[in-house]
Amino acid sequence: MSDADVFADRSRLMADLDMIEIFRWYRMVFAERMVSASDAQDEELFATLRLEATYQLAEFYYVLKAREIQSESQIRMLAELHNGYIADLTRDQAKMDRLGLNKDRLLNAMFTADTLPRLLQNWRERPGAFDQSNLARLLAIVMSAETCRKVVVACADVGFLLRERTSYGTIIIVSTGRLESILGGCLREARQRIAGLSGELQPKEP
Amino acid sequence: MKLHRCAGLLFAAFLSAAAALADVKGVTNLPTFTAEEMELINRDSRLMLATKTCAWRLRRALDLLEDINQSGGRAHVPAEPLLCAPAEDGGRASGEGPFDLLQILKEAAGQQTNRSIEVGR
Repeated sequence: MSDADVFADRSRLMADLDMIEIFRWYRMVFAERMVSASDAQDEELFATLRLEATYQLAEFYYVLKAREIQSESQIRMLAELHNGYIADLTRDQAKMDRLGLNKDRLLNAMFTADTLPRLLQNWRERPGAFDQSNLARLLAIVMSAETCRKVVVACADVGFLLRERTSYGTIIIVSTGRLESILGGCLREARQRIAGLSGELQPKEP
Repeated sequence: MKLHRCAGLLFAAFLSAAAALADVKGVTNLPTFTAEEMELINRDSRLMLATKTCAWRLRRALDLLEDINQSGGRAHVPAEPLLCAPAEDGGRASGEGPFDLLQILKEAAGQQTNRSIEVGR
């Protein structure tokens, strides 16, 4: 299909434009609903909630829940897949550049013989619980550890996450489920809007 | 504010803006500057160079300076738009990372994936 053809059919073009609006609406309304659902009223917190990184965190928790990643063996599998991905990425300089990542940062994001047992133990003792540093590892390809901490603190302040310091000095993060529900509601509405555009745009299951 | 002091402040604002913002790749149209702004720019060779090499950053710096002047010296830096990744993330604006993360989660849930996305046809 040539570039010119994309603009030839007016009715399909209008549906394409509606699609852009839905994409944008989805992200806009997600941010608005997070702010509305917040337990706190603080503009600085709201600014953090509106960051792309907060969306990434919400999407991570939503997919964990929606894909029913619940068992210890699934979390082990997630960590192993994550490590394999990171190892591959360290050998792909062009992709590291595109993602804005360097090798040191990636190596720090890998689960080691020290950190993997802690990831599994936290999950075993309290399903859904991540050590904050391990959560940052899992999200390392989409945000820095510093940004992860900032977003997690904001989400905890507004009641979307529980953030508890353990007697070992580590910080455990558990979702309250509200972030996932907000994202899921926005996603469902966006999908229904897309389905209503035209017959050719009906979403199908992969 | 005196012109020479203003130019210095503008250059400082420009450096801050340059550190925090990136010119949008692919955008070729140039920003405009008022006669008053051009008078200010022409007093500093670094700012003159900036009009040629990173004009949009300079435009943002001038806007920031105007904000500072209008707010009585208090800087009001607007929130980053969603598309601008935080500076400490090294401008991670690629869609690859979020896509790959979804694929990793999908595999962890026992689903088949094709990690290599077909970007075009």
